[in-house]
Amino acid sequence: MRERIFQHLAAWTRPFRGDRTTTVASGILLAALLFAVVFPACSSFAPDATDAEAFSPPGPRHLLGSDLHGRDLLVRIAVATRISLLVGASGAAVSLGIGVGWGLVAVYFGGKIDAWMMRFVDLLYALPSVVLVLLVLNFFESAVATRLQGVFPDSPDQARLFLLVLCLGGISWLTMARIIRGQVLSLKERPFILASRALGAGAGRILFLHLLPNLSGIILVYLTLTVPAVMLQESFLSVLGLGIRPPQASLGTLIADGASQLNPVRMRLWLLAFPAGALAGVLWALGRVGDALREAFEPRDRDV
Amino acid sequence: MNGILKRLALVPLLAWLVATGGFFLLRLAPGGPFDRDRAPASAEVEAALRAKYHLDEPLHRQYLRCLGGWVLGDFGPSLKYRNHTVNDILAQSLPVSGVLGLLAAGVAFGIGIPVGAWGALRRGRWPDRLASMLAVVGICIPSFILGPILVLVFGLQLAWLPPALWGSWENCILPVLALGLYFAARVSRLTREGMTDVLRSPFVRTARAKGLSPGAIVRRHALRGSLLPVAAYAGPMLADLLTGSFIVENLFQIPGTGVFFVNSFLNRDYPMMIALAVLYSVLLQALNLGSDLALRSLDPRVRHA
Repeated sequence: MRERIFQHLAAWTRPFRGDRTTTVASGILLAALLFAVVFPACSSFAPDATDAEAFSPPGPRHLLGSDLHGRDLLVRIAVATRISLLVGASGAAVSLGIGVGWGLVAVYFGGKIDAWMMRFVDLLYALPSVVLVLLVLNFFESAVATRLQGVFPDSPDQARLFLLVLCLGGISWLTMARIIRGQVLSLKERPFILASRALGAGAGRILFLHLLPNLSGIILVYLTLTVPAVMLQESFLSVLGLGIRPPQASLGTLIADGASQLNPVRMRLWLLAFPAGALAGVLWALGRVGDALREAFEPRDRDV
Repeated sequence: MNGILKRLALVPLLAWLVATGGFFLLRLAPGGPFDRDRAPASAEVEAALRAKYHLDEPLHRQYLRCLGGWVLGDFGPSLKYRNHTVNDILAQSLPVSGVLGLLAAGVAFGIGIPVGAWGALRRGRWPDRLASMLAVVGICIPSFILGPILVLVFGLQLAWLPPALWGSWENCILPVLALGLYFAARVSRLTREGMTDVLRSPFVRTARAKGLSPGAIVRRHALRGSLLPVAAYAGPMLADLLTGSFIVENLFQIPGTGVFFVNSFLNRDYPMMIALAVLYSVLLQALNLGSDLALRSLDPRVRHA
């Protein structure tokens, strides 16, 4: 039994151990997750705690320095990484839900409905995504805020976070839908699907029991590639001041704060360099792991 | 040929859909165009303003009025910059963004294609590793990080180049790099993949077997096919670049179109917003069409597909 578990584990972690770079990337990703989740709890500073030492450069007390309000940058980066990863992961999950549903339904109905659903995807592709996000945020923010106020009375900014996740997921499902549709179209004609149809299986059974498991590889791959894309979009919005709002912080807001502190008179480079490094590192690790998964799972690349 | 005409015919339809959708969605969004004026207008002044811009009419009348303008290519006056029409503002800002975007595209292709091709030719050896590493760094550093760093190093510390503003060629360098290096990294990865695929294909093996020099193989045979992924990516990339980037234009104080994408929405400048959305979608369609045409001319097999 134990051996089988190890075998499974070995099979599952094979893509992550493919080459040294991938191993390093997976390690960075794990470390970032641990850092973001565990570190704020065991740091001697609270993320919002201010003290008199504003703008202290990296040193023994504040390892990565402190910001305008004397907040410890290391803890702030940990908390911000948590929010960024959370937004990235849940945004990607939303995009997964919509994208897979859309692709499956389009193929299932086929014909005219399929054509129209895909035209709709094209239409959304043609809209500038920032505009779309702004529109949705503006539409629903107050409504969702009052709704959520009842559920989480003490944290007012959940609405923003929630909507941001929905919006970012809502604009990044397009590629997912296209890929799923393409994949389903090619799977549909395979003998095992024809066989189960011949045995009288219904559409639901074919879609969920036969097609979906065969799509799981490609879904996983695009999920890992969507997470960094959503994180990047979120930081972009936060840099504009339209994403996460203070006192909450994401890596994007930290970078924006750091960039606003650059001036020729006094350099506070650490305020930009560390959050930027954290974002770039996490993006790189996610991208690398996604690529490794793609090489492992995508059928086309396996033959080469 | 038929397909192209069909797609061209769809462009106006799409533009109409985008404009109509934008019109109604924006009217439904809370807030109005005169909310952010310097002093809150008195009720009479605001009513007069609304009357002047026909915002007090029933929605369908407003829509028909706008539709008439759109057909003639006239998006009406800007509700924020009330001394200018939307077309005026776009006529002033689009060339700036266009020049910036074209230069950035030049950087993207000029650096990305040679670096990617070089990496593929030396696959697995140090030039490839170096190029791949640079590409990864480029992709993971978005313009809102790269821009401030460039300004800091070359604009303020070394003071080689002006840190902001627009006008002379020196002003172009930093924003073009901030905007273009990311795309250069993407293009180099795509070129590397394309080139690797092509170099493995039988016709390159034949060329090598008949004794063609490596340089000639790349120039005469491989390069063309290796650009296929780049050509497919060029459409969306150019649409993004030509309509301007909010981050870069904001950072360098460049009077381009990119800033309006965000600001016009925050100002509820309805006509401006609709014009920008239509502009972007039409440009994207046109460039995607161009992309497909380029694909056809690069790869004869696509033509018959």
